[in-house]
Amino acid sequence: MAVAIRAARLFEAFVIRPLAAGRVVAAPWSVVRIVASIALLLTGCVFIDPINQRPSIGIQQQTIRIVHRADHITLVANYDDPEGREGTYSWHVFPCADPGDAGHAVGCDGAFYTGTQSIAEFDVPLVLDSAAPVQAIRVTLEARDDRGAIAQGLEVYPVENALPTLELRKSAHSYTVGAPIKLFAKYGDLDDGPANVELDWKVFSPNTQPAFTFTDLAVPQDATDSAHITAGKTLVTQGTGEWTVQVTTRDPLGAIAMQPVMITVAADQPPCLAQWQPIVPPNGATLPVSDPTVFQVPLVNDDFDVYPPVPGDPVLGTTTFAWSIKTPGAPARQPLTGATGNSIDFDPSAFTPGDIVELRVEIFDRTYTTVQCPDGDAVCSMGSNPGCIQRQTWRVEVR
Amino acid sequence: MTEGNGSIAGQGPRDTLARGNPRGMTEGNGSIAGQGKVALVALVLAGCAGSVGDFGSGLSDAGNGGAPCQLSLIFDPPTPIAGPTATVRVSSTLSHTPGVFGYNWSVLLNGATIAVTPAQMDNSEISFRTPTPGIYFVSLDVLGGPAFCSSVVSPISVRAPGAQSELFRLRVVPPQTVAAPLFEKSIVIDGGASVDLGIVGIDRGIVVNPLVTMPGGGVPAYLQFAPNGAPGAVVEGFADASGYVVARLLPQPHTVVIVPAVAGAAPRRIANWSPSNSLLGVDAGSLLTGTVSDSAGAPLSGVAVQLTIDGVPSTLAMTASDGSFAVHAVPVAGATVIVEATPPKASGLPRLTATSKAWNLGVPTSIQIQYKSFVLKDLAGIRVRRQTAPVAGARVMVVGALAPVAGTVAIGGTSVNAKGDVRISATADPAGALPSTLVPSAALSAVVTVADGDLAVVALDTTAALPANLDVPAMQAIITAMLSPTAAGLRGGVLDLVPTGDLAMAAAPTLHVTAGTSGALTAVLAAGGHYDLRFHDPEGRAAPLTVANRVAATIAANYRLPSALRLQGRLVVGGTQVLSNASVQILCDACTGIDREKPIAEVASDENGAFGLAVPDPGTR
Repeated sequence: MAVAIRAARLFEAFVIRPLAAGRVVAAPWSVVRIVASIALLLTGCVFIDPINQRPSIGIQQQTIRIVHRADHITLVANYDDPEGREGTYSWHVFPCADPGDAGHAVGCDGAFYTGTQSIAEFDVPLVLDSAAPVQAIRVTLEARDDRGAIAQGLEVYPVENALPTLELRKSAHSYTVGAPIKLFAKYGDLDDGPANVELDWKVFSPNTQPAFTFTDLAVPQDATDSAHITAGKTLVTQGTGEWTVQVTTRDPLGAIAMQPVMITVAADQPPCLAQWQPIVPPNGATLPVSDPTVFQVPLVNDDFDVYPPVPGDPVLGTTTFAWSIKTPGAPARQPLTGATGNSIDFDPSAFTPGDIVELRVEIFDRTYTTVQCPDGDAVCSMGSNPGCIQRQTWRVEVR
Repeated sequence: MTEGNGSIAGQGPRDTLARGNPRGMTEGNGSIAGQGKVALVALVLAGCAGSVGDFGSGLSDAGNGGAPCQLSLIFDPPTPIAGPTATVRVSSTLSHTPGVFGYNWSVLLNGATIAVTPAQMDNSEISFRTPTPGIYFVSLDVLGGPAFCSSVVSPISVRAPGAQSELFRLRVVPPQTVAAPLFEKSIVIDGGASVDLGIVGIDRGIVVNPLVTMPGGGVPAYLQFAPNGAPGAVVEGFADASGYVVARLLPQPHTVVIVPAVAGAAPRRIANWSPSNSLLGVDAGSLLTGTVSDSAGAPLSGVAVQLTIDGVPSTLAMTASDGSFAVHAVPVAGATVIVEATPPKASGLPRLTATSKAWNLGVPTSIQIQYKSFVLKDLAGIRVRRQTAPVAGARVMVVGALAPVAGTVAIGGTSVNAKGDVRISATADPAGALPSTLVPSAALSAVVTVADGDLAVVALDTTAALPANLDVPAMQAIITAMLSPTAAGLRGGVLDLVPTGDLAMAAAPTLHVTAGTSGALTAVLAAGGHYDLRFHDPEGRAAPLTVANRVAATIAANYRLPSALRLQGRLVVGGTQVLSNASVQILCDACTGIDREKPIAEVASDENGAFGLAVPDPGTR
């Protein structure tokens, strides 16, 4: 067959052109037909006009994935024409109520998208005319070649409801009693949008049922991310233990996302001397000081009252320092009253060379708990962490 | 990274940075601006806010044979100056990553968006105008680029025109949990605009364990290691009984001061000691001998004598009954030598101090310390009173400077006058009467402590007849206020009242006061006491202000603090790890003595290693 068609094509120009040239126009039509037929038979060549083949068409997602409402979908027409003819397209996309019926065009609204390109791009609608959620889309595609041959395609895509999204995080300078704990819930919904999502906060306190406050926290929205909203709360507990804050998001179709965050709230801990200068001599040794020297505590760690203070923080305060000195011959250690800063100046010339002078600093946070170690202890740790000390003592040898 | 351009680089993953050597970014003289060479500014990679890990780990391989992708910004000029027509051109380079990308730029100044103009067809390069000085944050998102190196945010400091410069010192003390030595460098601050230091690289240093040894074995000692490249970054240490000391030092030569804790060993300074050297040798040094005598040449016993040679002390000696003493020291030719003699308190004599560079301690010689003639007065029976009531147990420190000559110190035929300082203490009995206490006849002062924190300075002229009573005035309340440059009250500001003069001689402590509403400050001061007023604002709304030598009556109703500018940067230790919770201090560069160790501003670095503090604005011309 293919050979025959090719043969016919070879003769096409050969035969049709003489006919078109009108060399037998003067003869009667019946005679012409007979003569022409006989002539053709004598030449051994019979021309049959080729049959136009129907093209085929398929519908394919550009990126295969589950379709949700409001998704931006790209469909591609897979067109094939046996003769290589160009085709034209006619897309129709219908929102439907049920994936099972959509194939029969039952329960579908009118087309929400029509197109004539080889690629169809559209956003899946949220609801039908009846306000019911869209649960399927019916896609029809009609392709026509330039001889009019038609191919039709049909696809039904189930449309799923996207679950709301939820990210929960906590932030606090310290997770201690009385400290504000900030909670941030960033939520969204792919198809319903974040504004249509309900947000629910629940606080589960420890068994001891301590009091707490749970207040709204203003959170600036990310202007570059309209797909999410971030809500905030501030939790201030009045008791230690395991606290849980559970956040639930619910979209209009009732789909939910839930996330808990566990918070271990501890009691306020005493402040910790984190740095001091100059170096503290080891037991039995003395620090020789021959020039005026700044004794200082550059850094204190604490749940609330740190040093250096954090500018502008409404919760954090700063450490209180208490300095004292024990000089040779003095009956007791003398407080350096008024010296509540993080440093003192020590001028050895105020003493006699060879004097052993003890300089001591003790630190306090807002609870101002007395450092309770014996006076003879050079350092003191009142918390559970022995590395966290509230007292430091320099044993200075005046030179 | 060529000369003339400043470069900043981001490299994947987002928490990483590895273009060049971040530590190298801050080496050199530490100038922030005006150096005309490469200006490197802080890098904040987008997405760093959550977790901060080690820089340089897990670099993104964009399928290019293993080379990690790099996103870098180059600023031209690297140290721009603001002006009506000034512009900064920023070009980006995404290396080791083939492809065609989109570029999304953003420039912010004080939170406001600055318009940018594409400078290349593909938008890989932009320019923006800089009419206002300050820190411009340039951020770039590369669309279509590898996820792990597609964003970079880089600040660039735009200087104010006519900016004046001032030298400061930046000191960083890493927390004890981070193994790195103290860091210090000089920085030049240009006035008129905030400054971003970029990444401040902290060297992890190396652990050394040298032995302090003298003939016979190791000795315990106190040591100071000062790196040659940063003499202020002193690391202290103690050698244990066997002589070993453990310290973490910069890998460079150090000047080491060793003060042995054993008799007969002379303190010593060792220059250019290499951390690779396992020994620190000390010895007895030179034995320097001499005598202390009164104006008539009679020996004085019990006098503590010490020399200091170019800042290195000798051993401490007490004169024997014949007035003789012997100290161990290491003489240095041409050194500044300080000789101090502190007599026993009961003697009533002042402490003598003489200083000279003319003395030659290198040859066997004798040190002759001689007091001039003093008339001594006994304070016995003087009653300490307040409002006519005796003050039991009052502590009295008699202080004063005896000028111009209180004695002489002669070494090798070179005699130098010595000044005299009086610091003689006594405690009143229950009736408020002072015990027998000798003091020189001079115009002196008595610093009387009635109770802890309750003290006064009372004139005590012993050149005439002694008073029967020492009347102690009450503490004096002061009210003042600290104001911002715009005259707003600085609530939370701090005033340190630093005793000077007589109070300082008596070792009175610095008073620390915090401002309340409207910046109001109240305190009670020692009557007659002189103080330096040091204002500073922890919130950085103003620069520190020091007002020297005030008494209660001369303290003004308010003080307006000068303008501050914000200095910020980011700490990275070892070239890879952000350094959080480190102490960051700005110190005076031109100061001397103890003021050199008092921070002008201090802050702790945050969880990202970032820090920001207020420093005095050098201003503009």
